[in-house]
Amino acid sequence: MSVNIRIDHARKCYGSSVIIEDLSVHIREGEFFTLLGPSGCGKTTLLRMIAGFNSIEGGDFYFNDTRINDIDPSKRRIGMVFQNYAIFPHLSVADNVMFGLKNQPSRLPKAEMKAQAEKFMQLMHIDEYADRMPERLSGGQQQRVALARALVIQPDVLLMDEPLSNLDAKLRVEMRETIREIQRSVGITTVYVTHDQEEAMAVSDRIAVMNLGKIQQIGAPKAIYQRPANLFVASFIGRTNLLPGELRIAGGKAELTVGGSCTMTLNNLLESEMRDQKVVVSVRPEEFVIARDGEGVAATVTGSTFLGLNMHYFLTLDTGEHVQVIQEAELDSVLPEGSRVVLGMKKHKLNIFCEDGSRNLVRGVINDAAPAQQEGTV
Amino acid sequence: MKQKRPMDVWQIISFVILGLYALFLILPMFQLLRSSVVGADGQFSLEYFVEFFTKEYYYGTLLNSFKVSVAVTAVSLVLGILFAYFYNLFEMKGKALLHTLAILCSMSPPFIGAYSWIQMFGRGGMFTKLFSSLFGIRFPDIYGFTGIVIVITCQLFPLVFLYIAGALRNIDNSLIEAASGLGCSSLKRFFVVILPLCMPTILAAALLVFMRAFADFATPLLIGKGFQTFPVLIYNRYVGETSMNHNFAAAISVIGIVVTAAIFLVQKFATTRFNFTMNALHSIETHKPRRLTSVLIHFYCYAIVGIAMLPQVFVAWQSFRRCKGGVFQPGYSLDSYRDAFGKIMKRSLPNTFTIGLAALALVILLAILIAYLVVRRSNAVNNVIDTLSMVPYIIPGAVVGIALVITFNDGPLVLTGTAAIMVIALIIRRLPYTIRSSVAILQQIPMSIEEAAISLGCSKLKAFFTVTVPMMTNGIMSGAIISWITIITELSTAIILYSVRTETLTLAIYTNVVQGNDGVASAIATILLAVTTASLLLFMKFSKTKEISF
Repeated sequence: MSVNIRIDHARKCYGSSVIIEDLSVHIREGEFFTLLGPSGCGKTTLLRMIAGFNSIEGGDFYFNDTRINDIDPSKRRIGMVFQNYAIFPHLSVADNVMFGLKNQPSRLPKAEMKAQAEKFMQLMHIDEYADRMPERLSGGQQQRVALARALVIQPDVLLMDEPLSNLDAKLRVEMRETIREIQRSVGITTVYVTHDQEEAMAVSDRIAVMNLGKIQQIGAPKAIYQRPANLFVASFIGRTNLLPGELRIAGGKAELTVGGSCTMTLNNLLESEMRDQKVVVSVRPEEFVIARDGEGVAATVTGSTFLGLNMHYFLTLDTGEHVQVIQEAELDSVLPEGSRVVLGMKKHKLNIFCEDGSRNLVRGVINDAAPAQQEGTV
Repeated sequence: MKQKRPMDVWQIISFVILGLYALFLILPMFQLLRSSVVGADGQFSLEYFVEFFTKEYYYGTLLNSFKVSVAVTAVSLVLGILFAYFYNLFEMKGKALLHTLAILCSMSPPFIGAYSWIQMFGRGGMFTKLFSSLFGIRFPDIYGFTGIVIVITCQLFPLVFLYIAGALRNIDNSLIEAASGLGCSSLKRFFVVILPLCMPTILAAALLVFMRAFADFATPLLIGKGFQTFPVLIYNRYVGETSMNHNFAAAISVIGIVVTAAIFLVQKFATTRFNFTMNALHSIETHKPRRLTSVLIHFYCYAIVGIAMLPQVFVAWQSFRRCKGGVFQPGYSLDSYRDAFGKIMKRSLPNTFTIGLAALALVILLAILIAYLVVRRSNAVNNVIDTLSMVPYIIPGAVVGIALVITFNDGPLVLTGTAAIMVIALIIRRLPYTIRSSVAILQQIPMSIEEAAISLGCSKLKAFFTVTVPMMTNGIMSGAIISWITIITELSTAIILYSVRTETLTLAIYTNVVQGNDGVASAIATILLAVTTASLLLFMKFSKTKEISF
């Protein structure tokens, strides 16, 4: 049975250092929810509070309507997958998978346990290694054992702490698809911790971007990529170029000046932000358009990298900023170093932040973390 | 909102262990300190300290101990490091044999060496007589400083070897290759790369050797003659003070602790300068030396191990000689064994096993629990336990004995003369080593393994015993065997605590040596050697790791 998870005003501190001050989040039943953030942002801490391995210094944690703060981790009905897999090295694969079944309060008959273990080992494609000892398994296989072991007890919640970070790049992609698939088919509420934004985007229904113990934004991958709630989210998710700009309101219209000379009219700003102010403009590398002339910011090409699918250009604006631009790789020749170009921008995709970066001034930001700030319309 | 959880099982264990330390370590140390400052009139007085530092007869022993310890440490380090270097970097014949023999030497009961050297090269010693009658050569006197240093070094340089050989195994071959790639010659590599990389281990070995040499009691007692060292002084004063208050012995003990604590701190300070860890993917490769070098290396390694083994071989041989009334006769017989078994069957042999096994079981249990508390439950109480657990490391064995006698001689808990006090003393002495090795093992086991078990429905204690302990087993066993051997060969504490009822094999050898029953002493010593060797071989057969941790 899956549950929803409600965390109200969670607080975590070690002695006098506060890791998480006041954090609330609601995770829906059956959803794949990812905590994403740089190391030290408190994402693993929060996960371990849900699991019960970290003490909770304040706030309430609920699985459905059951407050779990004081429930022992062994009784929370969680399945946990660890970064280092935490496979018991002294037990065979089958015994690892059965371990949890043997420790459940209502023990199944032995044959039933075997059948359950077998079922999940098949699901994870490790049934052929059932009798092997873990030291003879590869990292990917160990991770599969860990997942089977966590799921076989049919927990209410699946918790995963950077489960792919010890795998090599190719296996990582393969495993994240497996994880996503299994989660869908089992339909279990899953909380997943990672610092890899690409991985988070690939697997999640919703992502909570965290920094410094605070949730910056919660939303679907597309929402947080395209309309980041603040500058931190914009630069942590994907890549972006940040340029200083100036907003001027004239005759009810918002005029944005960026890169010194380029001026454009915007029609998607929040009403409340329609005033003259300094801003930071976030332009993703693919939101630039390189042209020989026309509207845009004057720039000089300083280098390029061919990446097969894309062409990566490095440019310096005449105002001195360095930017990156990604273009689809064409068959014709590459712009040589020193070329003078004009950079146009896909202005409907731009994100404009107030000067301190704390707010996105553009309409359409979806942020489940702070319902009060959800001013924009979709 | 405040958490109100019931006391978790580990908290209860914490407090029980803290209580045990309070009763069997803090209280005895406090009583020791108190006795040391109570004058003959029952008032506070520093008279014993004043007496100690004003009479050369007393403070001279401190200097003597220093001389011995420094000399032993220096010689052991040089011999051991060279041995380990040759052993790890060059191809050599019979490496397994050398390694096993080195372990055996380091494990030999403490005073068999001294006794045997006297039997060989002492005034009436066999070789002394042989050489003077055959060649008219007179050996330099074996007694005193030289003898002590030779005997203790023979036992401790193998320890240095085992330590350094372990450290060398952890140096990655690529470091050596990088050094030679950067133009470092083989000799220079030894000094600028290998030695510095081994420095943490060298310092650890140096401390261990220094402490052992400083606290060694049996060797200087037997072979020291006029050259009295500190532990011997403590023992003599303890035996000499017939009354129930052992104030002067207590005062000397306090001075002893201060000295060893100072050495310990100096070593800790020195170690902070070499704070790095290594883990080799590919250990250093051995290579074939040139012919002459090869001969010299073989000669060196086999010679020093041979000399270190000599006393044990000699004692074993002597035990088969015909012996009448303490005088050896020509020919061989098993009489010594008949007499020996007659003497030890009733008490010492069973005592050795019951006291030894009881102590061993408790040492292992406590070490595992304490290691767990220290590594996994770091908090104020457990940090105190961590610190306390290292205290006995710096207390010389004789001092432990005296502190226990002073504390448990009267009052509500009288333990002197019982087997219990012997067991307690052995636990106190052995625990720091076993805790250290258990801590090292536990640190290698990620916490998440246990958390995985808990998330799968195990209680905390069950997770510990079904997952963590089995994972620690191999490492614990290697520590346990060494503990077992050190426990059954312990003398310096036991000699103060034993009574007729609790005599062990080691004590039986000592009493027979003192009584001049050389045949019986040799036989019992050989039996003890056989027990330690058998334990060691058994361990090496069943252990997966060849590593031995002390």
